[in-house]
Amino acid sequence: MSNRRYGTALSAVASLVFALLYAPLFAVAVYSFNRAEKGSVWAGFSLRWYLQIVADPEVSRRAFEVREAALNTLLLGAASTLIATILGTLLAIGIQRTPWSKRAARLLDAAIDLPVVTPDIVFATALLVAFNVLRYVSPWFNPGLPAMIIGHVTLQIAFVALIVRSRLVLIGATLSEAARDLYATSAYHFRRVTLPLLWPAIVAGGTLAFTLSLNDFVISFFTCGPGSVTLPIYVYHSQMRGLRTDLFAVSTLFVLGTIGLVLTAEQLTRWRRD
Amino acid sequence: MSRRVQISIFIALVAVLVALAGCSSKKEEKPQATPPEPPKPAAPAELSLFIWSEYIDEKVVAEFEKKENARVRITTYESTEEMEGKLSYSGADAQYDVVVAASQVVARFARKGLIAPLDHSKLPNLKNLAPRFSGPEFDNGNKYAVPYQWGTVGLFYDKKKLPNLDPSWAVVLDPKKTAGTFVLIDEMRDMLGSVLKYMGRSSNSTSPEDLREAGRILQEAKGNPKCLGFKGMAGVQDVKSGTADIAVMWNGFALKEVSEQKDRYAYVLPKEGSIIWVDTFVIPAKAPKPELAYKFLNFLLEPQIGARLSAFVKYASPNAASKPHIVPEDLANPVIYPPEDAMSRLEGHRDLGDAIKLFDEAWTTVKSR
Repeated sequence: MSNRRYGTALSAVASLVFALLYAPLFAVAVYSFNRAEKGSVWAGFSLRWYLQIVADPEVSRRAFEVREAALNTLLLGAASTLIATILGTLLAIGIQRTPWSKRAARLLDAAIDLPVVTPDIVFATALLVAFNVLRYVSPWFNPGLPAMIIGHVTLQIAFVALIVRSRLVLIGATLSEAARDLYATSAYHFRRVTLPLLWPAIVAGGTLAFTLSLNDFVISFFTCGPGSVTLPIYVYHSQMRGLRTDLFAVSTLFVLGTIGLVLTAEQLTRWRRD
Repeated sequence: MSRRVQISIFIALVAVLVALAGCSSKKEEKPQATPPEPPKPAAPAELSLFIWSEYIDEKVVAEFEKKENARVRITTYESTEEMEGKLSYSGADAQYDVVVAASQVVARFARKGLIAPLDHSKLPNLKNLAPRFSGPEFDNGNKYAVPYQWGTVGLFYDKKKLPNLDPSWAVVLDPKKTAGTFVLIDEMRDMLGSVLKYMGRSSNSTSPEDLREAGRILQEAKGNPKCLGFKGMAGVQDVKSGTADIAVMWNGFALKEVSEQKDRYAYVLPKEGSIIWVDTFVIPAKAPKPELAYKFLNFLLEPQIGARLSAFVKYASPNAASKPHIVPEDLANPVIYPPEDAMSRLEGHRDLGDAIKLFDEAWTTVKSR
């Protein structure tokens, strides 16, 4: 009896949590169909803001800007995720498979953990200071997309490495040793043993990295230049005049895209054990 | 699905994503081909403008684009502080050709070497400006800045809820006289300047006691349960949606609502006096396309264009030659062009030199607590 009551309470709490998580997203989706140009006053159902997003850029500067911001966000996310996933995986393997001294291992551990726990704003200002010097070396460090990608990669690497490493620890050395005993070359061993075993962790790390990049406001805010504004920054700059409904529409599309991405990642990491 | 298939699917997905983003952004930007590396600036004739969002009529910009066969890239900012940070610390001063800056920061920008003195020979239309905005009183005769729009700070409120609102700063700043829920304005000089006016001081006061007191009053107002925080133009929406009853607001944004629903909303200048602000155009010292920037400014100073710019943002034009072209209702509207007796109670922002630190301190303290 008490067990059942416990179960009811648990499901009530769970539904509340889900409601809190999804109600705001749902509200954004609903308001994207609002006819009104801005604000939270409902003026009737309309698809005009979705059409506005795909309007001819020659006619509507707004459509061009919103689309460009959305594309910048995706481009930044894709590029930085690709780089960070490769580098982060290599970093994790390097840390795990190299016979470091105890002290060095502890130092490396801390080096990975640190960017994860550092507040974004500290990270961003540090990047800003560094880029301010580095831009005399290379124009890549000027505010703009390349600098933003570098900034995002710097943040993402630690997350990817952390996830991949935990998987490496979980796998242990036995399978690798077996492969070696059976005369697998390094390349063959990496391709047929390490990579398949690490795959779920790599996808998970990549997905997390992509999400971090999509979400990121602070780092982009400090490093963006003209023409490389991302959606979060565009939304932030628009809020002073009141958010326009087309931003709700583009946000809704983004949420749908993210759901698709999560489902795909789920498929990719699912183990076929049967 | 074998693992190898899984891997190749993932790689293909990423490749498609990158390719998609890559080519579609290229397609979009073909006319401008914006390279992310500013030192080798964009394709010929791209003007980069740094401005508040929705602060310039897109049709006027499009007309300039056609006339000069140029492209204008508009980048927006949300606060003066953000804009100044960008220009001074991340090398963005070499990325923008024209920047909109409040008049009070122009002198500081000049001291930092961020902006260049204007070459008046390239701006023949400067003669169109009203004496108040071009004489020695204003930026030493437009040494660095071309005024864009000017306006006031006042109270925007819901007349239905507050039919007998006392036109005084006390309705938001004095917890005993608060008339309803309210939103303060998220602009340092405008907000603190208004508090100083409420205290009967100059909004350019540099006395530490005055600013400490202003900070205290503002802190108290912020702590008032009826205070809904500091906002920019979003305050207008708050009043419109009924969340707030009063918003400290710039006249232009209030006006759009006031003119649409005259019996519902109103904008008043408090009797203690208030702020008059001027937004200006400046050209960064390292602007990649200064020639085009001059052409743009000169174009915006044309009488008819000046009138159209003001018609769009609903602020007052500093352009005297525009006067005959300005919408007559706007010209007669006391919210846009305050009558003489109200003008005498308004004070403009001056450059305060190092004393600006007093404002910064008071502002940061209030905002961070």
